[in-house]
Amino acid sequence: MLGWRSSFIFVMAYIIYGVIYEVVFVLRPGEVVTKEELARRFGVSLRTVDRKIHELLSGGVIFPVPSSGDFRKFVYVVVEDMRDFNGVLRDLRALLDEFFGSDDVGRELLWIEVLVELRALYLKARRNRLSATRILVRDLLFLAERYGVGFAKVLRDVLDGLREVMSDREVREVIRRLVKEGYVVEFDVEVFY
Amino acid sequence: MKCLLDTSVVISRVLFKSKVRKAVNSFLGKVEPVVTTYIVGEFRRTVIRDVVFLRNVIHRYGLGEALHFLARLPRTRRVSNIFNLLGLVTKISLDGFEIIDILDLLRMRLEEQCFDGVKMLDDGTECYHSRVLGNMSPDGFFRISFPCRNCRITNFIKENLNLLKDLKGKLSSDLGSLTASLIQEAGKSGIRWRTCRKTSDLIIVLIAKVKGISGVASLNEKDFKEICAALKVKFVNPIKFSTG
Repeated sequence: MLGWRSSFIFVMAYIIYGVIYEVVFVLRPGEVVTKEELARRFGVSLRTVDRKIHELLSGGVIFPVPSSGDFRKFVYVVVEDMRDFNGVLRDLRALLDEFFGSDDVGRELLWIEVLVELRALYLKARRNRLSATRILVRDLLFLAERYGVGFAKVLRDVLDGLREVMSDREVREVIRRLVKEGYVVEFDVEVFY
Repeated sequence: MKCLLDTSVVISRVLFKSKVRKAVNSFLGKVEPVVTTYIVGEFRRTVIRDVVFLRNVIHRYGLGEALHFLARLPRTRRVSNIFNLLGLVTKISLDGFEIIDILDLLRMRLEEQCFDGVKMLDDGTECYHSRVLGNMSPDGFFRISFPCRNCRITNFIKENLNLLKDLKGKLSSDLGSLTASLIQEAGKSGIRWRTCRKTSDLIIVLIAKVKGISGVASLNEKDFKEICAALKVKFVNPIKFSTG
């Protein structure tokens, strides 16, 4: 039979690691969340999140986003995603199918999930630094964030032809097509040549 | 009106503040924009080269060391441009790896976006730089180089030597001496790459004149205005054109 000390330790362990596991399952790898958002999602006070953040940081579950100002304000979830590139791609395609099958309100919500999955796909693509796929997925992420749900159809078309290893030439072809269709990425900087 | 675009104009479609981007794009909608092989070559050996240079420095040293390395360089226009690009990518990225990806994206995007809707003409210079693309090495560096080979710039200058001789007397001392060195080298061993780069503005206006293009558009008003006036080609500043 467990003594009161063991029970206390068990309860504390549940409180500490329960939150960690909950974070692991509810948040997706690569997702950027604020302290307020964590409090809202888990239904706890900001003070509790404040206390737990230390444990999450030391457990390597999350880490602060560099240069985001207050290190406790933003946290960056880096939980290992067990899926491979093709697994994420498959899930993303399924999500887009669901997106096209739902109504406008459903689409708005699903689009947020699409962005998160696209981010996960980019993290997977980055593992192969010699493949140009990571460049294309980063481009798609820029465009998806900029154009919103209006970009969904083109995104599905591009994802159909996406492979884990693509050459510079192939990626350039896709980018050329995107530019021709009017999808541009804009940067605010002045250079004089 | 057919208008030959200088590198500064095509670059501004992507790498300038939104106000300038809008002004330039509205200007391009009103004219018939064209570029030639020489301008594509200049575009690649300036902006694309700097993007690749920055990418490789960050790949080699990491972001912190790259900053130390760049800070030690003399403050030329090129280094300022590199710093501006670095500021841009740092602003929109989270870590060193992502910076490299954004620079790679910039390398591909720049060309596609800058020359979108712009007609490409062959100017007879056959600039080798306009065909340079570069390739990724297994060590993670992107290799790109800009040697001068098999180009016909000397023949182009020789064919239009009379125009240049007329021009020499009409320009200020700096531009006049550059024109003189161009004429001199064309008559001897051929145009050297250094002279070709120094006189690129002059060559662009000369191309417009030879190809019968009525206007030249540039954001670099200082030199172009004088050369255009001397060669009787219309000079247009896209920002002033749009704002009236």
